[in-house]
Order: sequence, then C-alpha cells, then structure tokens
Amino acid sequence: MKGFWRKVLLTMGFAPLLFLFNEYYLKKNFSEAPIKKNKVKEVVIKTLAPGNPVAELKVLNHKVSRKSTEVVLLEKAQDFSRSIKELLPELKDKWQEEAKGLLENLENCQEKDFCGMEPDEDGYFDETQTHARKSQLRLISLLNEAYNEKKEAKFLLPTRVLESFVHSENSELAREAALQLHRKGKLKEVLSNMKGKALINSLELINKESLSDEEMQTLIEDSLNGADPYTTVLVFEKLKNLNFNESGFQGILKAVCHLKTGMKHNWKAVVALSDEITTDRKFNTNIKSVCQ
Amino acid sequence: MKKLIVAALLSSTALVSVNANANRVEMLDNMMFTINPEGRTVGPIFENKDSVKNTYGNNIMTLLLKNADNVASKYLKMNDPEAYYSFLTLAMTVPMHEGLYMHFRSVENDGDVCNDKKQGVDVGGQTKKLFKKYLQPRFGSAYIPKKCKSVKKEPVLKQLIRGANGTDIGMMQVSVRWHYDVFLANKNYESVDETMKYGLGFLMKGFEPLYRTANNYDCIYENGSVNYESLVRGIWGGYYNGGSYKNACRFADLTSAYQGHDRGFKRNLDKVLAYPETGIIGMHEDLNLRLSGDVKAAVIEVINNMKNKTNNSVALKRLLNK
Repeated sequence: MKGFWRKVLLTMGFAPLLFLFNEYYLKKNFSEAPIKKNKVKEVVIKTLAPGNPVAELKVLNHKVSRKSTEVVLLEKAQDFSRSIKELLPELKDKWQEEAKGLLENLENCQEKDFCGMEPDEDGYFDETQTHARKSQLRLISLLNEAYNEKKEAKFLLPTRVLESFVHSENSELAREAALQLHRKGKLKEVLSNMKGKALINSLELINKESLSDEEMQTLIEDSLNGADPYTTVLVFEKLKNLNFNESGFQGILKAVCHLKTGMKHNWKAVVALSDEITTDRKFNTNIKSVCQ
Repeated sequence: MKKLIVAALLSSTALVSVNANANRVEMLDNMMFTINPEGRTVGPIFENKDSVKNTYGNNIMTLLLKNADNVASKYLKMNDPEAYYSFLTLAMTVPMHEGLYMHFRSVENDGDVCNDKKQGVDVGGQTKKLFKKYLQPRFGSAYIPKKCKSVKKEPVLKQLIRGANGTDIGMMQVSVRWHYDVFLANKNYESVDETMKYGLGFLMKGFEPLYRTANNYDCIYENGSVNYESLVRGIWGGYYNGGSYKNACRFADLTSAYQGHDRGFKRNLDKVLAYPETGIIGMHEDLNLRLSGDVKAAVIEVINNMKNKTNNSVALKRLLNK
C-alpha cells in the first residue's frame, strides 16, 4: 500500500509540471497544429499610438502564419540586430518551404490592406516600408543567402511569385527577387516592365552573364524605351558598368533623345553622364550629334 | 520622422527656459532620454556653455555639409548646381526643424533632469518594449536606463533627443516604428554622424525621383521650370513627414490636415535662407548654432547659391577638403 500511494502522490505532483511543460514549451516550439485563428481575428490594430511595432509584428506574424513554426521563423527573421548569415545556421530543416509560403501570404495581405498596418497619428505612412514588406525582404534575403551557400534550387521561389515581387516599389525586395530570377535564368524575360533601381540592378546582374555586346545593348535600349526620366537617369549613372560597343551606344542614346524636349535638368544629366562615357571609352559618338 | 518635438518645444517655451542650473536649457527636459553612463555617444555633444557652444555649431554644420555633399555631389557631376545647393539647403533645414540641431546633450545632474516619466513611462508600454529590444545592447547594460535611480549619483548626464511621444529619436527624428530594421538595429543613433548619414540618405531617396518627375507636380514645376524652394518643401512635407514623395504637393493644399506642419517647416526654411542677412540659424536663442570662419562662409555661400542660382564654392570647398 505504501508503495502504491507514494506512486500516486508522485504522479499527482508531476502532473501540473507536465501540463505546464506541454503548454508552454512543447506546444510553442514543436506543434505543427494550426494556430487558433479565432484568437488572432479578435486582435484589431486600433491603436495608432506611434512606435509599437513589437505588438504590430506579433499580430502580423499570427495573421500570415498557419503553423507555430512559421511564427518562430518570422520572429527570427525579424531580429534585425542579427545578420542574415548569423541567422541561417539556426533555421530548422525545411524552413525554406515555410518561408516561401510566408512570402506569398505576406504579399497577399500587403496587397489587400497592408496587413492591417495603419498610418501614424500624424498621417505618416510609407506603403513600401510596411512591416510586411520588411519581413518579406528578410525572408527572401535568407533564401538568397542559403542559395548562395548551397546552390540548391529549393531556395528559389516560383517564377510567378518573383514576377510580382520584381515590380514592387520596395526596391530592395525587387532587387532580391531579381537575383532569384537571374538564378533561374528568367530575368531577361521581365526586364522590359521593370523600372527604377530594380531595373539597373537587373541590368548589372545580366551584364555578368556571357552575353554578346549586341545582346546587352539591345536589352538596355529596350529597357530605356518608355522609361520614366528617373529610371533613365539611374540607368545612365550606371551605364559605365555595362557592356556595349560604339554602335550600341548610338542606339542607347537614340532611346533617350526625347528627354531633350523635357525638363532641362534631366537632359543636362544624361548629356553629362553620356559625355563621360564618350570620353572614357574613347568613342566618337556623343549625345549631341545623335540627338540633333 | 515626425514633428511632435516642435509641439513640445512650443508648449515648453511658456516655461522658464533656463533652470537655476545655468547650464541646463529646461525646455529640452521633456524631449530627452537619459543615456546610461556607459552608453556610447559619438560626435558633438551640446552643452549650454559658451566654451562648448562656440565649437558645437561649427562641428555640427561641418558634419552636415560634408554628409550632404557626399549624398548630393552627383548633381555637380551632372552640371546641376541648383539641385546640389537645394539638397544642401534641405540638409541644413531638416535637422533644425526635426531635432533643433541637437542629438546629444550633456547636463549637470541636479536630481530632476532624469525622471522615470520622461524616460518613457509616459510613452506607452509597447514603446518601452521596443526600446528594450532594440536599444538594449546584447552585452552590458541598457542604453536607456529603465529607472532613473540607477543614474542618480552621476554628476553629469548624457541625453539623446527624442520626439514628444518618444518614438522619433535623434537629430533627424528617425521614427522607431518605421526604421527599426536598419537605424535601430545598427545602433546608428549612437553617433551623430551615422544619424545624419541615415537621415540624409533617406531624404535623397525621395528627392531624386521627385526631382526627375517634377513636371508631374504643379506646386513644384511652375512656368516651365523647377521652383527649388518648393522642391525642398515638397520633399519634407510629402516624403519625410508624409511617407511618399507622391504627396509632395501637400504643402500647397490649403485644406490639408497637415498645413500646420508644413507652415512650421516653411518658417524654418525661411530662417535658414535668411541666415546671410540675420546671422541667426536655429530655433531658439539658447540653441542657435554659433558659426564662424570657414563654416560660416560656406553656409552663406550655399544659401546664396540656392537663392541666386549661382555656383560659388570657394569657402565650401575649403571646408569640405579640411
């Protein structure tokens, strides 16, 4: 009898501890079960008290995650005090599949309502720098760094997703997406619709491929046709890094002659930047002769 | 990057501005976080003493002009001095409007300088959590002490300027809500120079696309040319204070809810532009920057170039090459 009661008492004594261990450790870290969505739905970001991203990130993470492991992955990615390289070894197996799902979920809710993020009380709102966009950038940067280290296709997102990211007004997200497309050999196909920093980053990436000068200059010309003046000047600022020959240069210059009748300062910028190339590469062609 | 600091300043000007402690500008008390004594502070530290103020102004303005030149010198290569001097003028105005040309200050500890309310208890629980997460170095003690009693015995305290609600920090009033991923994570706030670099780099991200497409904005492109003063106002109001350069014409919208913000910025821009005549640059008598020698000459040169569309750069080059 003594032994029996001792066992009963011991078991009862451990029961609360086992319960707590299960509730607060096992479930939190290892559960694959879906998160109780009803709890999340109750949380409405009403408060516009500035400076509360900790609470906002928590809401966001539960909104876009289906599993608790995805929440853990997002929280890790959002530790901006640590570099991507530092974080990578700590990620669990198959994290890349969760990251891909999260990237899509974040995109969907960003497009819908910025994932519930509201302006500051004084009206400040930058839709390119929402918590969702910052989180996406970290996740895709993790995928790119993992690909860099292991060269495995499992770290690449589907092309249809990347084609959407590459047009994002968050130029860093667009740059990382362009890098993925480049690795899949699909970047050239989307180049004509790109603009701003994403376009010039992409041109620089493609320039590293073993393309002929003619192929490269055709891509530059096509990119400049219909480009806005901001994009055009950005491309001209980096033109010196790209491969083309003198006849190609003529074609590139022809693509920007229309700026001559636009705002003076844009024309002055392309004249100065193209003259630098004429001099550096010892070309005879210059913008004033091409755009008479 | 918001302007609540201005509201705090205005509300406190009704108070006696200088405490019994002659070195303490009391109106700054409500806009300062006390830093732990071990906390890293790099760059000029404001003190309300003639000996410090005589060099503080020159040091701050030199850093500002050098950083602005780094960001905007590309315009000189594009034969566009108007854009260059506009950006430099913007760079001189924004830190005055946002942070009173103040990042750190040093002040004698009279027992009241640091109190828990000012340290963040009044700025909301989530902000405190954020500061704990991002302002807490991984090793060592917190940058911002949790309780003032931990610094009570320090004879002198170092402080970091913050917005009235505690969520914008430093001379460029960088928002904790929007810039935690780089500015906070990299601890740029520990350095005046890094803070300027971050803020001016951010300004350029809006300046360039707006400038290149200025003819889409009636408030900036008038009679076939860019109005550079309006460009400066548009960048601050639409982009730095509003979140998108596409809102650049906010200042010209008389029904805008932010007219007060934009008028305040205009007043400060006018003060900067009037410096060659007034010799005063700053938002308050105690906080005006004292400029002299090459720095003063360079500032006057920049402003005159901005106003007169000239490109005289003897003094500026001398300063930048130092």
